[in-house]
Amino acid sequence: MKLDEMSFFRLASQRLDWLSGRQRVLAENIANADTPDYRAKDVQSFESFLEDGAAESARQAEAGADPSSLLGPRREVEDAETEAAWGESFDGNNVTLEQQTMLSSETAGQYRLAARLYRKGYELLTVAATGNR
Amino acid sequence: MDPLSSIGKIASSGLRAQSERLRVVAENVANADSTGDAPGADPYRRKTISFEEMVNDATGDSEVDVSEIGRDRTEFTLTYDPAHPAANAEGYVKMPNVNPLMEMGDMREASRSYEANLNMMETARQMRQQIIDLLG
Repeated sequence: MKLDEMSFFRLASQRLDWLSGRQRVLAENIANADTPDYRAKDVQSFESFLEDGAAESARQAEAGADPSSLLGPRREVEDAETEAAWGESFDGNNVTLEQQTMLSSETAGQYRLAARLYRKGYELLTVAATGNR
Repeated sequence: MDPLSSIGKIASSGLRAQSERLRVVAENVANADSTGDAPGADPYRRKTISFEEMVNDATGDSEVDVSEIGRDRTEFTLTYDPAHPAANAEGYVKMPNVNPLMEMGDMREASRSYEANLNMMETARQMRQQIIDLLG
């Protein structure tokens, strides 16, 4: 049994993937907060990340990849334009530290939620298998 | 490379760039009164620093790097001090073009950005910790 094949665990781990990818992009923005002409970035929406993932696995199944292989290709979260920057400085940089910090703590909170969910799913399995927690 | 380890590298490039900036500020403040020693000689010229986005070829992350440490080309101010060794024929001494207020502002901003990068590192560490906690 692969935990990854159960929709619950797959969704949770994809969520974790997406959130950590987003955190990486936010780290890039913060590191470049004073770089002239740097434009703040964000990532694609979680929804489109999931769709890309579904398309990718369909393509793989067609290409005849071994479905029991544990090492699937790692999907990168794609960068996208940031929605609305809070401001822009005279050197053409539109990173606002406050905005990025807020997004990053939001992402960290969602990450915690997804990690907890994953653990809950695991505990459910334990209950089902042993009858006690 | 997984994003959480990338964050450490990206944030540390930010930390390095900001501390380099703080170093330049310190040099400017320290030399705020460094005049020349020959009559009419130029005093210390304020240093400037600029950053650039640097894409790490191995990981594809955009990190930050110091692109150039240059010199501020604004005019020196003149003060009247005939006894000074650097005084010119009319008794005026050229003083460095360092504005302490501007340097203080720059210093604050550098330390604020430094903190933001440090927080990013800490957040990534906590996220990794949560994954490790799944095991325990």
